[in-house]
Amino acid sequence: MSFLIASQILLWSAVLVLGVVCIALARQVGVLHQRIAPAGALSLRQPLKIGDPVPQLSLPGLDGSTVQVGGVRGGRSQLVLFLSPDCAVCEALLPSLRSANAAEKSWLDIVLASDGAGDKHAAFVREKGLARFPYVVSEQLGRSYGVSKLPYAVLINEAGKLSATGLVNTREHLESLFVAQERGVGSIQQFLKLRGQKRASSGE
Amino acid sequence: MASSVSPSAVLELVEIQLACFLALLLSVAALHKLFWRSRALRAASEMTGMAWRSAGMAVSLATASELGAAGLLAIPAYRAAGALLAASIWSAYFALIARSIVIGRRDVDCGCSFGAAHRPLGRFELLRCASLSLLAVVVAALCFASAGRGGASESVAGAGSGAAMLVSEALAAGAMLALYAALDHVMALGPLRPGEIR
Repeated sequence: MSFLIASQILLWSAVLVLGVVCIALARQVGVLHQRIAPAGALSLRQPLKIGDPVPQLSLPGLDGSTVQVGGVRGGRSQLVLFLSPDCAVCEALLPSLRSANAAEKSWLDIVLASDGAGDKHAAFVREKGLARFPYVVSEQLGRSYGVSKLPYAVLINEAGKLSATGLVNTREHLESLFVAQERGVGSIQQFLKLRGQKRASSGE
Repeated sequence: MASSVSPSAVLELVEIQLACFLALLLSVAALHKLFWRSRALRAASEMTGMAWRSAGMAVSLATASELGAAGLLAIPAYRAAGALLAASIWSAYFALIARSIVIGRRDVDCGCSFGAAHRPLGRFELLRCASLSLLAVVVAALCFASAGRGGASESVAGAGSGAAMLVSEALAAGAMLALYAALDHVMALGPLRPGEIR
């Protein structure tokens, strides 16, 4: 047996083992995908219920333009993110927000909302490079959605109805709102409840 | 590398190992169609728009072609013909998948995954068919080059004994199939969030 064939046998044996290990790992990842519960935004008590039409508001933007929040907007959904320049968690969420904006721009418009003094917000927008997002300062808007904790997000679907809401601290929480809309559930809590019922009925 | 091994022997070894892998893959694909015939029938019907009866004939033809190509690839004298037949089979699959994508039927289960789950048709499925087709063309080209040099048996015979060669070929084909199956499993994993991976 030549050196070439001997090395071939050894190397292909190693590759075979590697391939089998990869298959086993991929199967394990598949099992984990099925078992783990998605981490989602915490839905708080709110005046509007999931599926309710969201009142259409025309509010002045920080740049002087008029920003329409809610209502039917040409087949596009709208995410209203409530934040504050003083909120550290909101600041930490901004890279995820920019990334989500780029990934979901085909169907989603993002509006930032806050309340308080206008100067502070203008400085915040400038410092954090948020000029690409419409930014409204309105106490009325926060009250109409029952926002009590920040950062809080409200997703309005293309029909102008409330699709999902919740406290969003991470990208996972933010994306859970999109998943909730895609799956037709109002919140991650509702999704887990439905999944539990489905498993119970199928005897898993 | 030992001085007794010539570059042509290495090329011939590559040709044999690739041919064995393709033959094994085609055999597994044919067996898959035989054992999970209803899935294959549904895939053929949805991808071609044929009636159920015609789809059955198409699946039988595809299965026979795959087994035929695998058999030809395993016989050194007919390896080039087998490789060309395999290339045409995967080219046909490529065309069917591309058609489904163009007409907006990405949700069709093409039956090209060994697992029960399937992912929406996309670039990966096209790339897989194109790569396999290219690999088959490479094998055919190596066969023709080998024939031009006066046959494979002489130079490869210098590389090792018949039994050792057989073990090497079987291991290579098995290892490549294991890697292929691993990739198949990884790609079948649904993203945690639908639409995250495009």
